[in-house]
Amino acid sequence: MSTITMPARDSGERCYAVLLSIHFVLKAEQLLKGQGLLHDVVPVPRAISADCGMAIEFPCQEAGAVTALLAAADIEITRLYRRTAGGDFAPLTIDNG
Amino acid sequence: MPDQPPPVYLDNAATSFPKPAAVAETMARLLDTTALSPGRAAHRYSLAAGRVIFAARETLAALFGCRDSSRIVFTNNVTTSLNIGLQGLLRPGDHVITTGMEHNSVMRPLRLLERLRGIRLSFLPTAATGEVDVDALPRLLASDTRLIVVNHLSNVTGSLVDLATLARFKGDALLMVDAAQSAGSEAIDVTAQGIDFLAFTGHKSLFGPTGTGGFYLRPGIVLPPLVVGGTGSNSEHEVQPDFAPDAYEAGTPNTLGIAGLAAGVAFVRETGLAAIRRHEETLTTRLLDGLGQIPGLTVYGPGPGPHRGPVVSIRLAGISVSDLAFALDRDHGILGRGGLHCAPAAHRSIATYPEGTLRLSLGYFNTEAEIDSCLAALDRVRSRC
Ligand SMILES: Cc1ncc(COP(=O)(O)O)c(C=O)c1O
Repeated sequence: MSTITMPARDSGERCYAVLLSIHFVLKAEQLLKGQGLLHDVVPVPRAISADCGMAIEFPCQEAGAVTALLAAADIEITRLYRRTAGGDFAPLTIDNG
Repeated sequence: MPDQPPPVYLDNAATSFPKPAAVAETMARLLDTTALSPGRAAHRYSLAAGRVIFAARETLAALFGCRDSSRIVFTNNVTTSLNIGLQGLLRPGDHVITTGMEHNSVMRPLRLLERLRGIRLSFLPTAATGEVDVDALPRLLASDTRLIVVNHLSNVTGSLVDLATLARFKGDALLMVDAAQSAGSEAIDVTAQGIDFLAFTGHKSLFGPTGTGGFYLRPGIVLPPLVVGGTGSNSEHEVQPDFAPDAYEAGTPNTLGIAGLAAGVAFVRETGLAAIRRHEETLTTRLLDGLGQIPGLTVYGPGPGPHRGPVVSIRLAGISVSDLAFALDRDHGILGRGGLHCAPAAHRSIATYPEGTLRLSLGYFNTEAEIDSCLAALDRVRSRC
């Protein structure tokens, strides 16, 4: 199980998961849809990565559920960020302990 | 000129024809409505193309009993898939067990690696019908046997290889299956059948267009890719990603073809493999029964039944294979194929080398009436020999 160092309350903040490639983004989308977890498939924010691909954006209060679901499906999250009120992207750590 | 009846296409083992209507419809719609470069940009057309490929992977994974669709890799044909598998897996001095029924898309890479890497080959014994003696596997296995590679359904005789027995005895060796002829016509379950590498082509019984194919690679197996380049992923790095499917899919894929392939596979899944198989077996039995009535005609391959596929090889006394193929086409509109079918090893095994055979290969869209036309035509050619 992965646990995530995030406040559980709904802060209205958005989180971004960068995955290995478009295949895994679309697989994640399929799984999140299946679980009724709200999310969007969006371009990887330039501030996070120079990669030109897509990322999964979701409300940060779902971060625990999202990372657990992806971990259970063996989908590697290469980067995970929270967009702060100031518009910056702060990395989140996933503890796969 | 009197109206000619439409040709009877009996060369489905080369490529299937016709395709289900949805194949052309899907391809035409996509070509007209969207750009087809997947996973490269973040705009909606690129995402739509990514979805096309993703859906195709999921459909093929479901067809082959593969739980993780990232293990389905797309290539241009089964030849490319087999080269990636063989050239990637085999190390200097490795021992490989294969059969006497292989297509050149397996034999040529093996012969190349014999020369370049000193691999050693052993062959499972093959009967004159093309049937492979899989029970001989334990005798051939050695401590350094890296791979067992077999043609699942012979493109020359229609004989089927018993994969279950190979998987049962394979030990530490990997099992690679050339499913060029069987995918879409025989039940394949990579998980249940213990297949480590399944190579398929899109344009035969999966009803896709030419230029499509791929392979399944069991989780945990890592191969060096044959071709490296842009994948749309890890773009900030100058080294190839090492995860499937991206590691093996450098270059813009044949998105349009893969969309057509997915439509073909959807047709197979909707129709049902059991129904496809039943129809093909009915037609094959009708053909074999009729061929048995024609004097001077020899069939090379197993008799009718569930242990064979819809590929039939014949010769007719008094006429060469090439003249027979030409006469059937020109005078009767029956389109078969004469020669070696890119499988000289198989023809050596069934003692039809070097002339080869006339191959009549049936597909789901053939009819009993077409089989009867073929039989009548053969009888007429015979009466003139
Ligand atoms: C058994 C077998 N293997 C491999 C191939 C090669 O297929 P492709 O030309 O699509 O790579 C064929 C058909 O041509 C075949 O029948």
